Amino acid sequence: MSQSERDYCSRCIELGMRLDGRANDDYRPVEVQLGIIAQANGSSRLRLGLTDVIAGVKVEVGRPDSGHPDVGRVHVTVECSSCASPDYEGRGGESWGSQLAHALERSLSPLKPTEGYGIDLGALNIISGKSCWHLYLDALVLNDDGNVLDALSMACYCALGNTKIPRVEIVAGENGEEPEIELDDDMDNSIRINLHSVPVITSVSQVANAYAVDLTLQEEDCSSSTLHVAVGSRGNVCGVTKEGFSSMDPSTMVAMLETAQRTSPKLIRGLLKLLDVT
Amino acid sequence: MTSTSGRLDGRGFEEFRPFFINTNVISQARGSAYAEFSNTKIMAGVYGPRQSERKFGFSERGRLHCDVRLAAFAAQGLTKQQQVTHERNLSEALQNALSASVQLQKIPKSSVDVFVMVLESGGADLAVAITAASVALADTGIELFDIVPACQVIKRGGVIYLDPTAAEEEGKEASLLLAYMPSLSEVTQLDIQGCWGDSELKETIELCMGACVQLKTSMQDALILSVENTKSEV
Repeated sequence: MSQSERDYCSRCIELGMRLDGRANDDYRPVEVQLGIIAQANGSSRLRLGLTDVIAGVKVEVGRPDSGHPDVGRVHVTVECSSCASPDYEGRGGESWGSQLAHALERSLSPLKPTEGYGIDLGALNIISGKSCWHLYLDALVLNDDGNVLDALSMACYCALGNTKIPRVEIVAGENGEEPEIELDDDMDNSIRINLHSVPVITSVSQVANAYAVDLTLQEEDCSSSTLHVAVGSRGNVCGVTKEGFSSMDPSTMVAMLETAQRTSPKLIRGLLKLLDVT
Repeated sequence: MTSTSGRLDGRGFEEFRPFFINTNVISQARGSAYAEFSNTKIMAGVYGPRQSERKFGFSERGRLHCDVRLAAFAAQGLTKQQQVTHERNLSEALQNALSASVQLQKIPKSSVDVFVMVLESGGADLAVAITAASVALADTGIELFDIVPACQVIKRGGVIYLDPTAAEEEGKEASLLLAYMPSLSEVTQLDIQGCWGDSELKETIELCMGACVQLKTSMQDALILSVENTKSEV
């Protein structure tokens, strides 16, 4: 983008009239398709404007972490395919992908498993200290038109809502042997993941003297710094990361956090409505 | 972790650990600093401004590049892969924290490289790394807008602990890191994990800003001492 285009774009955001007609706290229209990957336990494809991402969930029985023997584990990976953007070719895509995965994993996997946010890891327990469910959340960025992290966060939310975990029956071992696990193949009789404490990430970016949510690729070029705020359905902040090389005035920073706290619950309500319909 | 009267090491909940910062510790580097906050020992060296590599092309603004490494003996319980990811995250966070403080427009076509080595990971590593790297940058004489002190706060059992040790960080429910430029009154890095209530969050941010102002005076003292020493040598 040329300097004049950037100036024009920044000026538009400062005046609260963005290039596509949105207000500074409006999201682009969101389209979701659920259950698109048959082999995954849960999946979704989400389009945020032109940004297109796919998230898939697979569950496997495995050993729990020695430090936390009675909870399950979550692993997130994000792949930025080279077809999504020329910047993603080779190493660039890898490092960007791992940053996105790190941000997502922080929002979904709580610091202390019993804390009130993230995926309920306690529900993923099978036999304390011996086996638990490992949740593998893999996301793929198909097209980057800005605000990829938010799109990924919402896609993961939908994929988790769509996930069916097989019921487990613990059969006591004979003659003091280890108890065995039997998985129920009937998918209609499966466990669903409780989404009530799962947060969604809202990115609020600073552009010149104003700030806005859900920037398009063009607008991202004009932004100086961004706060990625993970907010739960009750509007509570569960995590913040700052991206970008500029500094922020503390009062603007707090105002940006408050904006994220207002927008996220609206997004979550919208997503829950979509998940209920299916 | 807490007796009824306070923390295990006898500090107040809003007190830093005993610390010191030295500059000019790496002779080869343009600027360097060593920061020791109890068991957290971090060394930072800055090279530059030097000519940017050809692949970066012409740039009107200089570039700042940060690289954080953990010594093999620095921390326990990290696999090789976890260590690599951790180092990458720390480098990214450090770059975001420091970039706003350097007057990069004054050094076109040049790069400044900041290398940080965590010698011992004793708690609040990133905060101490940002502090050390900022002092090292100031030690080089490159023009800065301000130095960047940083502090870390964790929440355990609903209580806020400033500048936690590794043991205090163990069972944390939430954490907050803030890097702040006091003269400009601007925040360069904010990193929050865990659930925070609204008023709690605002109060903690205020607390961190105050702690950063306090830390800045010590950083300035270290730099002034270094200049006085150089003067007396000459």
